[in-house]
Amino acid sequence: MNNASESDHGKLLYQAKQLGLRALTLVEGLRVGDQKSPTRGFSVEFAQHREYVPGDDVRHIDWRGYARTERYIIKQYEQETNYTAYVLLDLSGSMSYGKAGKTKHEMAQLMAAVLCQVAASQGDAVGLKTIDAPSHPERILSFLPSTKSNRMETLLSQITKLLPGPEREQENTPPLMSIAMREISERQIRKGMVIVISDFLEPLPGLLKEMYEIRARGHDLLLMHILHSDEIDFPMEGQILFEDLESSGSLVTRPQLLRTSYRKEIQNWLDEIDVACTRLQITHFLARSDRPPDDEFLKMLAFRLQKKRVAKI
Amino acid sequence: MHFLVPWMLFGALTAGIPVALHLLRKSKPTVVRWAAMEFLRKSLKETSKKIRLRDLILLLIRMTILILAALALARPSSSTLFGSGPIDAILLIDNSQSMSTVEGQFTRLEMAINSAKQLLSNLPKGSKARIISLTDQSVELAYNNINETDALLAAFLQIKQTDRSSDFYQGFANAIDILKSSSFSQRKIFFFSDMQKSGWQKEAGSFISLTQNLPNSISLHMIRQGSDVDINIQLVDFQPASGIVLANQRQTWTMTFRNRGFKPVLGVKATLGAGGDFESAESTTIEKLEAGDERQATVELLLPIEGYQNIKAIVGNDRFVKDNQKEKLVQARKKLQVLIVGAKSEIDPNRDNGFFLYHALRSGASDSSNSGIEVKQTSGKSASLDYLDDSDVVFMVDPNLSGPESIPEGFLEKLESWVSKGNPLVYFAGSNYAKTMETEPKLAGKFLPPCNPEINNISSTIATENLPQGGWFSRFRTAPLNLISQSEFRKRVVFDSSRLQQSALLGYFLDGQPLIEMRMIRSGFLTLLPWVPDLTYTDLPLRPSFVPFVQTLLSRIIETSNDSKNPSISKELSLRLQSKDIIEGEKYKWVSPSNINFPATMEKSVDEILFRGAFTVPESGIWKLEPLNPASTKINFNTNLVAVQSSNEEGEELNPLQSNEIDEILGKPVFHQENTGELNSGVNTGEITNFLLYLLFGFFAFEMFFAWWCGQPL
Repeated sequence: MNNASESDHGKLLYQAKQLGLRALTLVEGLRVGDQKSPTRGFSVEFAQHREYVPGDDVRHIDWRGYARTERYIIKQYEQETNYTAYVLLDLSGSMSYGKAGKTKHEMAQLMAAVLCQVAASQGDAVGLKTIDAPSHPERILSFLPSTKSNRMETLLSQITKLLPGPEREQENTPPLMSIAMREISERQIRKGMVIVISDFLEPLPGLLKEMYEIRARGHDLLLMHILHSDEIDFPMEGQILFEDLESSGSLVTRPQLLRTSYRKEIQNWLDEIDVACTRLQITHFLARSDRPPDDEFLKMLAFRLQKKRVAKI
Repeated sequence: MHFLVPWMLFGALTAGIPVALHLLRKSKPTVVRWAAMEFLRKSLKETSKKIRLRDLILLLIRMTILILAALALARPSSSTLFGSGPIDAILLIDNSQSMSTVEGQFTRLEMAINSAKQLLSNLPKGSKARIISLTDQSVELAYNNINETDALLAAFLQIKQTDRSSDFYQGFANAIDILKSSSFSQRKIFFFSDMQKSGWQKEAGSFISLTQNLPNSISLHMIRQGSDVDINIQLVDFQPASGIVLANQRQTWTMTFRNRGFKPVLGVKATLGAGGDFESAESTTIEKLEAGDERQATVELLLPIEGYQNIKAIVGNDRFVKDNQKEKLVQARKKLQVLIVGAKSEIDPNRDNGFFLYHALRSGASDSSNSGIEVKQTSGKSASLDYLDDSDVVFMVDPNLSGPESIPEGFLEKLESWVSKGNPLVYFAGSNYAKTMETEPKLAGKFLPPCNPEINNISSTIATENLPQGGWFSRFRTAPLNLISQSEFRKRVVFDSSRLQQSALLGYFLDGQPLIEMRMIRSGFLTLLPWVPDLTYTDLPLRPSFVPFVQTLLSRIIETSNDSKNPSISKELSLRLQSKDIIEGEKYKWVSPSNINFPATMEKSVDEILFRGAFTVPESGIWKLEPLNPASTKINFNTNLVAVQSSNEEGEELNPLQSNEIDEILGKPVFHQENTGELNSGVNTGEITNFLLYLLFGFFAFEMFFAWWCGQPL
């Protein structure tokens, strides 16, 4: 990232840290933290009463309640814990679209760095996994979640060094994001947060299925959807040869003739993702790589802060 | 269907431009590396068929526009597009002089007649055609149904080439009037002409009034004949250098000619000869004559016999022959007999006031016996009536018209008769003339005009020493004699070229006061000059140049006298003969140079008979007056000829008007067709072209809309 983006980064990070990255679901952590834990413990904030069952510690019996109801009632309190956040960062060739300084990859880098630092600043464990074609194993990095500050520094340094994948492959690339999401949902046993930063330009059914899987396992899923304005508005003119960034395919056409139909297609796709996200209670944040993300991004964080916790689906 | 400008059809090849542009654009697209290919493919799949169809339609529209433009520019024409109903057609055929121009094997007139014949064959059944020949006059020759071919073809045979100039207005006006009263629903005027400017521009302003109220059912069709003439030599004039044509002497003649084409001409041959056989012709060659240049060539010619003779001059040889040659009837004399009738000088009784004139006339040649002029001087009192019979020119130097020293009784009457037969009289009017005008105006003004009705004392106005400085006379007053050539003088003298006027001013002094007045008296003419009484050398008018002035005056008078025998094409043909030359009771005819006979009308007077040409003189050249029965003729063939000059506006230059200029004069666009021999009667050029243009505009508008709708503007 260049100096300007670093400066943007600093400003955004400062504001984001004020808001924090709150998990919308109940998360399970190893340490006491800011996040609600699904387990009940001995904390300050009362959670609920329940019937005593043999094996419960008698110290937790609410004797006043027994006096009122003549039943043994256990008094439970909220347990606050930290969460484990996994950031999946898309490094595929399609992320290289855009002018220098405004590529989708650079926007993804910024998002990843900010989110990681915000989470770390809350004491949450943050892990990172980069996603690229299996033919480039050296570009697939995996940082296990950790709260250690030195690990965070390494992670941030790695994020900064990341480059988008080779632009054109001979073969069609597999749905890398879906595969990575499945891996994460299978690997992460404790309920945590999964942050996916990608353009999601791969078959939607597979993506939706994996989104469902992640949510079904109780994880909080945050989709950071990075697209360039060109990909949404399709403003080009003239006779243009479009070369696929991820495969050897290409086609020649006049965009002005396809504009309406293209916009309709991409809007349908975005709508479909939105509908699925709403249904699955997933945060879907669409960022345009050629516009500064600040306001929208901060709004998203604020929204998450205010929103009630959502249940497991 | 045929095309008037067929080479414009090559423009249809431009229909390949949209295809080429399409391929060119495809071959060099901008490369964009794109991530969201899947959406692109999907939308392309959905819309590709539509796009291809739109592209194809646009391509076809654009190609059609270019093809239509090429077709419209090629000006298609079709005879099959005539209306279905019969037509009342008027065929105006120009037979003016310019139509004699040769185009390949045919003259323009022959081409026009062929075109007209083919047009007739293409008219719908039931049509009627009226054939009218048109020069500066229109002559209706036939009005028949088109199946009456014999009558119509006979009418074509009557159309002869004329040397007349053209003036199309009246012909068109008549034709339109005729068609206005026609009962046919379709009425058309077809004009077969080379569209000479002179014919259109004589009454250019009047055409608009004709076409303004033209009913829609009457249409005008211009069928142009001939092509541009780039080389056109015109013989302007030819005359003897001395002004006097003498027999048995080798004389220098000056031929003036001009290149009226727009290309230089090399090796221009100028030939001059006498007689019909042209045997004694002499030639000279000018190496190069630039476009627009006028040149004079001198040719020596010997006329072996005296009397009236036909002199013919030919210059160059181009497609328009009529203005390359001229014929003149000239009177070759052994000597020019000049009679000077004067009066005694008031100052010096021993000297006659014609003294200086006598010497000026005799000084024309160093050897006065060989100058070609024989001068007889007499005082008024002793002037014999018989002197007039032997004289060719008479100078009256202010003789006494009354009193004891006056001219004999009856002299003036005989003089008038002598002049009216075609002889020139020069009258120097001085104090005696002015005195008689005051005392006996009836006597003085019998046939002599008042010298200057505004100023009674003529002498005081003409005094040489009172001539103001400046003006063209000052040059003759001061210039050395040897620097003043006759040609310069001639240029300075204004002759009225139109001999239709009975009186014409030869020149001006200053401020409109006449220096010389020339007056036609029947065939002859009177030249009146002011004269200073008691003439001394210092009083001579034009003091240092009096001699060239008098000699130039004499030669010009002789020339004018000859020209009066040579009427132009627009002037009435007439010949005055002594009654002894003809047979009483015999009927006579005029024979044109191409041996066509015309009736001669006869007017008898006491001692002579005047034959007139009571018809429109169509041809230039030498016309003969012959008895209807040649066997009984006793006519004197030296005096039965009249040379008609062919000069008219068309002879000046061949200058056709372009179609748009004709439209401008007519005040509306009419149908035009260029026809140079390959005849096609198609005349709906304008209609088809208009239709194609409407179609083109329609397609163009549709293309604009469709391209905008498709998002593919040009």
